[in-house]
Amino acid sequence: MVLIVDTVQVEEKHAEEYLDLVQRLGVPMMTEAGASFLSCATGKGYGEPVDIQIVWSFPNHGEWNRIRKTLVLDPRWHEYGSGTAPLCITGTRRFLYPTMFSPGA
Amino acid sequence: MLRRFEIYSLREGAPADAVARLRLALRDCARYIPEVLHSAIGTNIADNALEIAWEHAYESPEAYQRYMVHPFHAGILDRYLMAGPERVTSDNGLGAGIGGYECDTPVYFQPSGVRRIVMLQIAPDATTEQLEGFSEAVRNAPEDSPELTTSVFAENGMATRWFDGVTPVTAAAKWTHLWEQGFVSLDACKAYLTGPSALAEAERGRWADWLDGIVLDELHVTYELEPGFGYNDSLRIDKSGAGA
Repeated sequence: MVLIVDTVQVEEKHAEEYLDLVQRLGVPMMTEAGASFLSCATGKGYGEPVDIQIVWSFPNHGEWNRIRKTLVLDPRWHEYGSGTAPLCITGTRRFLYPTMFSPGA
Repeated sequence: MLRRFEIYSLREGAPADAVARLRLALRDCARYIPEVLHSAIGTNIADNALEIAWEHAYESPEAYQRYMVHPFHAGILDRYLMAGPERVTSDNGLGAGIGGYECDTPVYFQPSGVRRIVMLQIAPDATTEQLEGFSEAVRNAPEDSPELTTSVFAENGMATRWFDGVTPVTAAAKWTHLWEQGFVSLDACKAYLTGPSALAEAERGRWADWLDGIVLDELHVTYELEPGFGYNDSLRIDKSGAGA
């Protein structure tokens, strides 16, 4: 199993809009393409930028390559990208590999 | 072999350090994915929105498919290229993106110098004779313009076959054909462009009268080669056609 961990910071006033895009476009698009949606969690801003972390999984890189092709050919992908990008202050996308002692490894 | 290009514009405000990391990751891709041959990058100096060109090649579609599923591709290259929080490239509507062609030997190879990629939209009703005429003119171009050290004309098959190098997965590409040019220097490139050859004249006239007007549109990039990891050590750099 491989994990994709997207971690972004958005201004508190944009958090709801960002999460709406994730729920409305990101989740159906990724899951229909074949990725598993594991979690979407947020911090509490308290006046500071809000941390949002979304975690996906897929079996292996061959499968990701097929998912990736489906995403690139999906018009929602471009809407999702152009909608979320201006809302991000900063962020990362990391591919992570569970350790041998991790649950689900 | 598969010859391949990726050509990108950058989004406004893209962090310079992230752009530098992308350039390094593209240039030295072969350090992590040995299937990537003759990898080099360049900064486009032509007057359009395109900024970074990455040129490289693969021995076969199978080698390309191994590149596609490599974790470096997904985890590092796509970090900066695909929609996501660290993307530094931008959509530009120019239709450049991914391109390339099949070849038997690395006819494109040159150890250093300047590359010019001319992307051509050729009329769908162009005849086989017209395309063969174009191909022959390009093949013979170095005789009229000795500044041209590389001159390859080919169908832009990789634009639609980017998934596995074999199967078209998108509709016909805007740029149907590519003319890959090489020069030893920018001065040599300029000498060709301002020179008396029929092809240079056609380029200056934006192909208006060339072969009964079969070229509908054109876009090009020009860059100095920045060879990457293993560039000159890569397999099969014999351009004669004999291979290695």
